[in-house]
Amino acid sequence: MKLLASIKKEWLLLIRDKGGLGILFLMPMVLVIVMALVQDAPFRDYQEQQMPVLFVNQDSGAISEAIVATIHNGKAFRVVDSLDGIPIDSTRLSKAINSGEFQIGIVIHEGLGDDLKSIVDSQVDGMLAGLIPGGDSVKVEKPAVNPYISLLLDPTTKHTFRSSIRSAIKQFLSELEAKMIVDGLTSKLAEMTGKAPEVDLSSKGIVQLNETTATSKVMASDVANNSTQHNVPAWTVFAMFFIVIPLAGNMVRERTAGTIIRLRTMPTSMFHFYAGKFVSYGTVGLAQALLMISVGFWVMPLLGLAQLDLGSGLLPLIYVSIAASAAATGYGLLVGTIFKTLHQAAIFGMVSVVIMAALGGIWVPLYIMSDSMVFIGHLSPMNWAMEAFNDVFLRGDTLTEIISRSWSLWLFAAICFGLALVVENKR
Amino acid sequence: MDAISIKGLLHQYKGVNEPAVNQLDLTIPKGAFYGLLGPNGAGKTTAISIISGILKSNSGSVYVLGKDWNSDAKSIKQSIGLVPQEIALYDTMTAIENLNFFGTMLGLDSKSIKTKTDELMEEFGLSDHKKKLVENYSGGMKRRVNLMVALMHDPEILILDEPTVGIDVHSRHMINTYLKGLNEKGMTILYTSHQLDETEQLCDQVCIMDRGKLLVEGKTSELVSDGRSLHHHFIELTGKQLRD
Repeated sequence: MKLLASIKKEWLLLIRDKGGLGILFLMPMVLVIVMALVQDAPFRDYQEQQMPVLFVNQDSGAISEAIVATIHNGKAFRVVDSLDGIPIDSTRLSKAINSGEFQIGIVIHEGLGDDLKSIVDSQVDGMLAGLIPGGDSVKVEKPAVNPYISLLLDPTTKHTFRSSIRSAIKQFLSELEAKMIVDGLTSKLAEMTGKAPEVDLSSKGIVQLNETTATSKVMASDVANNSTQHNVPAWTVFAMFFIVIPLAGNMVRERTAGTIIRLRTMPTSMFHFYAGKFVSYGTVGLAQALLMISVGFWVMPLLGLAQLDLGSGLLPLIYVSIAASAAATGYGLLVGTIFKTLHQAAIFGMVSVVIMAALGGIWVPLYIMSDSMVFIGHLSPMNWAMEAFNDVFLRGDTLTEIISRSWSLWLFAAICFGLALVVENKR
Repeated sequence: MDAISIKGLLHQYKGVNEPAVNQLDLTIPKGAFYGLLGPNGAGKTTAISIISGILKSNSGSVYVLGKDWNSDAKSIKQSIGLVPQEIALYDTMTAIENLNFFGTMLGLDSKSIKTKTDELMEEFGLSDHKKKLVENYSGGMKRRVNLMVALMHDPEILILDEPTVGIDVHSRHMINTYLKGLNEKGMTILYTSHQLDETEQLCDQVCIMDRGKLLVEGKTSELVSDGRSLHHHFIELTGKQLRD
């Protein structure tokens, strides 16, 4: 009876604060959509993206044309060789990159084709000399040239981006060099034997990389590889833990208004008061999670993003949402009990949630952090919540598996709830 | 048996040099309308907080209707009603919703809550404002609801901490008349106020305390029998120095 009265009171307070309620649901929804949209591009591969590349070709030979064709055909980059209808030179290219107008610039210097051809020819001659009887005595001279291509990058680009661009360009240069050497060898062999050897160099390479995802269940699609699947659980957890701020604020307001003091003079346990808040705000957290999952499922496809794959299904998802919401609500109760002013509770609540999110791998995955940070990250309840969501969305775990792995969220909720009660009763 | 009996009560807040309540002895008989008076910082609210069980004293004993807070807390809580100085209500709930919530927390069943709520709303002139949220009430209306909550379970002892501060004349008159009526029906009332003329009219017994100590205690009629008002005695005992 007392618990029901306490729950009813919380709901009345919640639904009559329409602005607050709107913020509780609208802001997380906006957050999850914006973050999924912003992070959508890095999840798409470069072929899909077609990065614009400023290109200056100072060499007029066939080989440099082949390099341009290779870059163009690779579909990773879109070659831009003129700006405002005027062909660009290396000075204009440098300016455009430095100003941040473009992120990548490539300059092929004059004579590159001839230099490359002379090196390839020399290597082919060297190889064949070793095969021809008496060829050992033939001295093959290495040409004194050092061909190179200039790659200019915007100084603000990140290390990982530079690495991926560098390896993409190196890859097609290696392919080009290999093709030139094979072409040189086949033409020389044809000259020597009068018959051209058949060489089938597949553009895919000989050894294939077979990539699969290690899940306990075969997922319907390659769900791990899109922004929706990564961002919805991460930002759902983040938004759920932000319930700390309105909940702590609600508790501080009750204390300053004197309603808690009044309750303390009544023949009732503070357990009912706390349990009422826990159930009410926990339900709000659950509703937030379901709303954000609905956004991932129904709204994101309308915005050109991938549709959220529910992974193991709705029931495990609801269970994880309840467990995460319990942890967030328990934490909010503790913060609201410990701090005496709204200012203290709001600032501590907000900063602590941001810290837990940063440590818990909400923004940056734990696997790229140092060992010590990974250890600390595993102590963050937000990491436990996100992992529980990932168990459902990405690993396809069953409800039983998820229940056995998400006990830490319940334990955290129980400890926070218990501590809050102890602190309140000690006042 | 006295309604409230206090002996050697001492309480000192952390970080403060002087005790808020210092060896206070007080006896409030059943059925009394007792005024606890004193300037700011006298220790009135601290004493009331200890009597109401909100605060634990460093030493001394407090008996309410002969019961000790340490062993009979639940029973004492059922016997007292506290009207705090703040408007301790939920602003975005109606008066009835507030009364329903606190009534349930007091352990009343829904039928008793309904009966008592209707009765109090009528007696306090709020029947026409059932659907209004408390935040839309005037100061006087809020004070009335603040008092109504404490009366939901018909307590034997009513403790009021400055219940009429900052309200209109009519609401003050209504509250004071109602309190007088309750006292006449046998309810013990412990009352703090800075309104000395009001206290002189309402209370049959008063005590004046300052800096945590009891300065004078007795029947109001005896105290003012020399022809001087309570106000005069108060200034004489506590001095003219400003208190903040």
